[in-house]
Amino acid sequence: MQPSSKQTLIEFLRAKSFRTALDAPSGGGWLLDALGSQVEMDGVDLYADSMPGYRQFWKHDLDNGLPRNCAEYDLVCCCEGLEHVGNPLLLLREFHRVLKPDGLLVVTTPNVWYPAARLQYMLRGFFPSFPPLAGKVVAGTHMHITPWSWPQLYVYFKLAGFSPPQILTEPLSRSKHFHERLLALPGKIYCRRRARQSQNDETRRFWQTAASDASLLGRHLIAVAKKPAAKSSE
Amino acid sequence: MSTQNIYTAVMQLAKAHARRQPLRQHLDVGAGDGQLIELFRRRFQTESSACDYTGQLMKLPGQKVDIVDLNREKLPYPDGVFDVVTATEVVEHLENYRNVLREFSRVLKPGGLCVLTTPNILSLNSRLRFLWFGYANLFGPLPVKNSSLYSTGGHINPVSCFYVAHSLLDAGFTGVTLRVDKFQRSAVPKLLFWFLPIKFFGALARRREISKFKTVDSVNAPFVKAMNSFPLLLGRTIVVAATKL
Repeated sequence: MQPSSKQTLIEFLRAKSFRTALDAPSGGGWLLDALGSQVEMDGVDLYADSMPGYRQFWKHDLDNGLPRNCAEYDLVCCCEGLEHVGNPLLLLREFHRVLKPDGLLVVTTPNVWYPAARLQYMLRGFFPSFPPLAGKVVAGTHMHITPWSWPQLYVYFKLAGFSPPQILTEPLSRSKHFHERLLALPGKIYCRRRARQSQNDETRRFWQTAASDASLLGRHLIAVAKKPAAKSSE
Repeated sequence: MSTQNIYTAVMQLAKAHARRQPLRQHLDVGAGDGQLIELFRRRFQTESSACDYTGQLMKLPGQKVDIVDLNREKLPYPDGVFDVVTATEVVEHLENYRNVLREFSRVLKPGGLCVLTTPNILSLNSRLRFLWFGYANLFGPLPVKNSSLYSTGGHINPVSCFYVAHSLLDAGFTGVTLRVDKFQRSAVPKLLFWFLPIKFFGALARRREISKFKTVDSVNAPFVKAMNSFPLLLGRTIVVAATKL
């Protein structure tokens, strides 16, 4: 994860208040270092047996969901994890399970919609950061197997029971070169047209977000969604 | 949705396999109306099992359909009972296709044949659609407001031939063969324009994959090479066959 993406995420999280959080996967524990003093944080990762600073830590393969004895959290952060799992919907449903009502899920992942990624896919068939896989997909290896764009994330968040997600704009959402803006233009026009034709607010917001720089030009997606509070039965 | 071209391609692969090993027990996953089962019965005199998310589509008289939600359940069959498993136009509907392929491997006999088909998202038409609009062919924006997200044909999982091949190897298969059901004529004029850039930049990227990233080995090299081949650039649906070790 690029430093600018981390900075954007940390600023967003520091502006809110959380009592408990789950960091899955924990990686090197940078999120704990950044937020540690203000949240009780649990961690999950495939590589480490234990990590100091976390209230509780599990060595666990997220492809199988979350450990069964996870607590309930106000915040779940999945930074650079969703592209590694073969069953992302299971993991998202598990995040939904351990979040408290109105709890927040944050997912960061490489974006395959930015112009250079589209061009590479056109010419090569692979996305950037998704090189050919050699050998077995083994626990403990660093492999990106599930590419994400904003609409794909949106669908999976909804299927897992989350409210419509938003994406955070960050410095990497800006195009580096003019030709990237040109390449993104047909997509922008298409999404904007769909937004104008939308019959309801949710669909309109979806297409407006799809047309945003963060979706069309960003190298990274930082998506945020809430677990809706259960409706009271009357 | 499966077409006659897809069934023909599947049958050709099955015939080639049947020369080496008889096909007696057939499982068709996502059996639909049973057309493929009927073709197998006629050609190979197989005993067929059908498996789908609903039994209402089946038109073959007397054919039982085992109802399974492959996103949550295992196949309801013991280990090593089938000579051939077919799944036409199923992979793109699944949440965890890698796990389902492991299930196919489990229910197949050693040396058994697995044949899969899925939309070819590496065709030139599909690549161009992704370049301009961000969606592969036969994959579009699913309904946003509608809670029934599976309703638009239910294509939620675009998988390229490389990842299908890799997943099959990962699930314990060998002898992975790739082919396509038919060429798209509409892609031919576009190929005249795009052929050189694709070949040139594709070769550069491949060199970097081999020398810098070391992500190409003797096992995956044929599939990496196939990604920019004529059949993959022009084909509509990929048809992949593999044998259980």
